[in-house]
Amino acid sequence: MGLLILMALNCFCVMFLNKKDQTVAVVNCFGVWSAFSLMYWGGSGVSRESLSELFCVDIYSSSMISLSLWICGISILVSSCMTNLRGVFNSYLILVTLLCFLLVQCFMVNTLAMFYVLFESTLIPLASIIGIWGGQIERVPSIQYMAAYTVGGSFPLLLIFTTMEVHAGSSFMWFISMKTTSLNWLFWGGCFLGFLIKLPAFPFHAWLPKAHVQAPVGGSVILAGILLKLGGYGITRMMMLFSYTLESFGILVMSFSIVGSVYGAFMCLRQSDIKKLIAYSSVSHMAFSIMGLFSCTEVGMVGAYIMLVSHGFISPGLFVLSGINSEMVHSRKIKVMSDGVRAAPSLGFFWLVMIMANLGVPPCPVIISEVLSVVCVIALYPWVFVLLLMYFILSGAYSFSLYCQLTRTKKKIKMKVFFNEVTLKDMSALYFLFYPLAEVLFKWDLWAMM
Amino acid sequence: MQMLSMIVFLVMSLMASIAMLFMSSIFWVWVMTDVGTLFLIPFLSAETRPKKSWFTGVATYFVIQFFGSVMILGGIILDWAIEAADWSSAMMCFGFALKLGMVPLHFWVSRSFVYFHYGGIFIVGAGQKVFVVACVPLFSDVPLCAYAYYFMAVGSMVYGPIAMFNAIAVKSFLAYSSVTHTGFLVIGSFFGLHIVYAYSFIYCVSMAFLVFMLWSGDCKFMKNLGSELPGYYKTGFVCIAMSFSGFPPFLDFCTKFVILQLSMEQDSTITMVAILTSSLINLIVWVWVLFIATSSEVKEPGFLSGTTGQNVLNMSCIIWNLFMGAGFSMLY
Repeated sequence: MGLLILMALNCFCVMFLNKKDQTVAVVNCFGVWSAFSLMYWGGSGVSRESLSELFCVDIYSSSMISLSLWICGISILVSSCMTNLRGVFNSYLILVTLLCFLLVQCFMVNTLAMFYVLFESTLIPLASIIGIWGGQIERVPSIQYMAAYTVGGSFPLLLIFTTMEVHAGSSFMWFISMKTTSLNWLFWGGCFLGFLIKLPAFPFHAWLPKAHVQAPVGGSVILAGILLKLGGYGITRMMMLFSYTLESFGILVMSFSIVGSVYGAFMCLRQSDIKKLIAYSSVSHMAFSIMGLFSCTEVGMVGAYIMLVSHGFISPGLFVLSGINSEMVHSRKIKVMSDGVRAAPSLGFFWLVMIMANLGVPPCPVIISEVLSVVCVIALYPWVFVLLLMYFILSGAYSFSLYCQLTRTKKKIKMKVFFNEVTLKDMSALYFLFYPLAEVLFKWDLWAMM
Repeated sequence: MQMLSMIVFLVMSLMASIAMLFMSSIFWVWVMTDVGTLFLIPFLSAETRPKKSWFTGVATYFVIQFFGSVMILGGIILDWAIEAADWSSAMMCFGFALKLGMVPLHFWVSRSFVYFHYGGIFIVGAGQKVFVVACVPLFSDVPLCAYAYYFMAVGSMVYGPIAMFNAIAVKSFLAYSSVTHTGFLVIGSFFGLHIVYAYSFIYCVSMAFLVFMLWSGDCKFMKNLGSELPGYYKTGFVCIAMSFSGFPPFLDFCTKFVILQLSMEQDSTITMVAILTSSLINLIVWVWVLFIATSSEVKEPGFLSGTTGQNVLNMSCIIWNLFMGAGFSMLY
């Protein structure tokens, strides 16, 4: 509750600043709130400071809260450098701050009903961001897709928590566990469908590439950085209710995820649009989180959360780079973006680092997550390793292909770039995304239950 | 003078409708319903600039309401004369369903609404329906009628949003929106009249805001909504659109959630599926409307840029849609 009060008070103070100072003030506020949220990181179990009638926080919630605050700050920072948001920036600040406020509450509430309301409410600011600052007319169908998939998929969850409210009197989700002997797959599907769509899991991923392509850079950063993680967090909480006893349903979901990871990597190979490529790589990476979560093991949970948090920094980093690069050449086509990389060679280095991080090259924490998730899956059925091997080969192939296309040195007659300089201010968002990855690397066992 | 006469006839219609709620005999219910409808005719036909179209809309409305009244009176007489309870109830049920404009007897709604003025659309689409829906529980002890109303309501809830998608004119869009909400009202009547009154109050106020904003811009076609809707009302319209989309924590989500909860308590699976299907289609429709309304080629005046009255109305609309949901949930 203290964090929410601090956020509200800071926003009230920022309102009285000059418009040109508000951007810097809000970014600094997000930094302060992120630091404040570290108070909730109290190790295993529930944080005593957070216990109240409305809220309850443990390590999973607190990591997501810190990630939300950090990513929303990065989103504002990167958008302040982009040309297409100038002039209407205050509306963007308000929408991102509102979204962050809803997200923080979403990760803190202790009833399923409130979680559902906040889960759906986060769609409104994001839809507004895409609608207002999305570049093309296709943003309307992309928002319809996103809204229909997310809201439609979570209708069964609405029925479930309504049942809890009607029959049990409360949808409080802490320190209780339900009997799972007589539940069927329809029930499990209803519990998890909305979250699987949000993640997004194969085959419910169709909305994500459309949303990413139409969203501005800041919107993509938030969508990839934190909104997808809502699905993973929701799955964790539902599993907590059912004491992690999914077994056969979990195996089905893991099977789809394994196929999804290979499918996502294959689709990345075929993309010419950088944003679609990053979107499909998100589908691949989230498949590992799903494998870890549905394995119902501690190792799997640790692997899943490492992936969720690491992906929360890497994917926005890729979007930041694609935003800067595409602004230089006014195109999202990978082949055209190579002109920008040739004009500003430092971009080539940053692309290499981010692509390697995305691939899971050590010391990036993604490799730890992939190893742990693979261990969980192979423990169930060893021959799955063949599919996972295909994934690793395909992901290496698309990463290598992407880097080669971006940094090709074939001379062109006419190089079209709108500016050929990348300053420290432009790259500041990227630097702030690198640092937390190092923290995750050194504290990767934070999510282990003791 | 014309405005005064409109108000007088409207008040008289309202008084007749309120009196109808206190009648114990079905005959006097019919009388008061018809008196209320008759007093609406001059209200509906009043136009500041009379043109041929008002006659077409009012005539259609009058013929349908008349036919519905004939069916109700016929049922009453049949029951009195030969005590054929089921047939007479079926006739009366048909009459009330026709007056309400529920699927499949909704054919007149769009045809009439297109020619009404916006005040008429609000009164016929929201105000009058509330009172007629209060007659539905009279037939709850006749299984044939109860099932007929139930399935008509389910059909209205699902068909309405689909038809809204295909609406070209704004008034046609409002007509199908009223068909959808009539379905919800009738379903609510199965759970108790208190739900009907609460839902109808919320629906009437929301529709009043919506209709007023559309009237102020003289909006005719859906595709021109962005340019015709005044800029100072756009924020309020966005809030209404988000509420009707069914996004939590806006008002319409809370009202539909209450009906969903009640149907869950009654183990009514068909109702639950219908509510969720209707909500999903409604969401897509209103997202589409939202984008049409907020797209404009001309730079427009923004939030709080109108007169004091316009700003107050806009703010009231935002507060109503944003915060009344929580208030309704707490009260209920």
